[in-house]
Amino acid sequence: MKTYAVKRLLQGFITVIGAMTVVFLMVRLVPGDPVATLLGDYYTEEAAQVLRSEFGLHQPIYVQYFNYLTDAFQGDFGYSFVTGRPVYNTLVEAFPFTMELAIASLVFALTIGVPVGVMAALNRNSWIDMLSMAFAIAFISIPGFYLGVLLLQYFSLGLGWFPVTGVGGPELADRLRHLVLPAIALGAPTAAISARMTRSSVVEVMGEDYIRTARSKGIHERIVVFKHALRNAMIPVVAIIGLSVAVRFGGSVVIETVFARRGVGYLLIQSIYDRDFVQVQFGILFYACVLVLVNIICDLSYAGLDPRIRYN
Amino acid sequence: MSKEIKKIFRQHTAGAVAFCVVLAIVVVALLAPYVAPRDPYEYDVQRRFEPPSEDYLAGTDNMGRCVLSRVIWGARISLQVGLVAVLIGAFLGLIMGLVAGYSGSTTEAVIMRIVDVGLSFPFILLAILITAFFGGGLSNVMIAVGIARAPRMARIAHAATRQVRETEYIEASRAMGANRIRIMSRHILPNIMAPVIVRATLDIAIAILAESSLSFLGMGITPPTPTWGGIIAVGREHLRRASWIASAPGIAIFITVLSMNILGDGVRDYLDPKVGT
Repeated sequence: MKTYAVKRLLQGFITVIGAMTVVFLMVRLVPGDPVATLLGDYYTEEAAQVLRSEFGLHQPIYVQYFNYLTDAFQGDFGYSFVTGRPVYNTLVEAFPFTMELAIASLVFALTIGVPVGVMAALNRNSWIDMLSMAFAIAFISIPGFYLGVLLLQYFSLGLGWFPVTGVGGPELADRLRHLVLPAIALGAPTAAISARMTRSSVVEVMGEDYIRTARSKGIHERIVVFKHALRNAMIPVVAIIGLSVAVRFGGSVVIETVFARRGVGYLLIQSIYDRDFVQVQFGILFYACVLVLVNIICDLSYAGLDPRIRYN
Repeated sequence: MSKEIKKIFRQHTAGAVAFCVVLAIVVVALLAPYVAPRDPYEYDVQRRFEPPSEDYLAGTDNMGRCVLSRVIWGARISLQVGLVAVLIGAFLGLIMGLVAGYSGSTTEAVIMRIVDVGLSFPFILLAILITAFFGGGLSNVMIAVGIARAPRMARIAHAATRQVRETEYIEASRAMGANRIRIMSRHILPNIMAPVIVRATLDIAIAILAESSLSFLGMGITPPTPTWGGIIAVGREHLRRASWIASAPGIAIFITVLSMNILGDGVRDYLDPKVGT
């Protein structure tokens, strides 16, 4: 297990370096001169030279790459083209808003998805099963941003239950009120996926020999389901949910824009609009790191949950 | 032939119905010039923000354009992106997965690390990144979504190739002196197509969602070209005044993606009956 963990971490590290390289090259391959874009109407050759040397753009690309990597490992990710502030600081300020959205959407997805999946599996081929699976595929098919717009239309503008946009003030209650609709819009597809996954996993487990043994011992059905079946059925669900969280993190880019939440995704989109390449570079890197980390945690928890899994 | 179709309908009713819906959407998209009640670009500032009526079945937008006509024309873009992006993704992914899975050793390690790097970006973010840096427009969106899907397809093709590689018929063809290209194209490729086709069908839905998300963010196909995501973005801006603008394109995306998902599930059950529980 220990060797496997070290190997996965090492692989993750290489992947992050790869991601940094891709982003670095992409930013440099952009058609057009970022300095010219930044200066706009104020462009003069002199001003451009000053900015180029300030951002290190006058150096050969391999020197820029080397500097970028060494600076990054020292925690220096550069300064925003637009605000002049360290990009790290701006992102750290936005991070809590994205984090709370990701957690809230996961809580929503699990509290809805897992019970629905269990219920569907225990009533296999009944109307409960068919209805819940129909809802599940419907929620997988609805685009998050449209669901967001619908929620805004009915619950914010129509009923006035929730605020329209923003992240809310410092009070917890206000912040939670701002969180409900984006969390539903972001979490609905995950809820649907976990319901489908839980259903098929529980159906499979309920056919196992040890369930028949437990039943023949006269154990109450509720204990058979919750103690014997669910525990085993949850293993693949955990893996899928983990991956789904990572995908949701990416989806937060769109949802944060719909609800104008000042999270990392919103910041990233704004930086793209502003052609603020250093900020974009760091934002993308942040997402790549989160995804790699979530994948590693998933793999490790998968190995931890199921002792039969042998990693070589 | 008709017996076979009847059998498919009986055994995979949901998938077959979804196929008919997809077919209907394709026909509407192809016949857009004849089916759409108006020109999707024709604007009438006198009739801005008109709610759905007999004249305008889905209402008008902020420029007084017919929302229904724009949605019908938007279907062309969505389906085009869905299909072409998936073809690009499947082509790139198949080559990477096939070569990595068959070659093994260093080639496999290098290709799969590249695939891992691709997978380390959330899919939609990779598509956003490519269109943001290289510009929007139809062809760039198709390429961006295709490239962003390729690593996922590569992983599937790689796993399937590794399985097939160990079979006796591959060993036999190698013993008979067949070269690598021939083994890969004639013997491995046909035998890994089932999972690839299933993934590709489901990927069309994902590509359509991605295109609409990109256009919604203003990073996809540029206005005034009608796209479903773009119309929803306009609807989002004028939600207080004209909530109907977002409805028609929203429903269009929902029905298309839902049908593609059900069709994908159906194709999977048809090609691999073991999976269905």
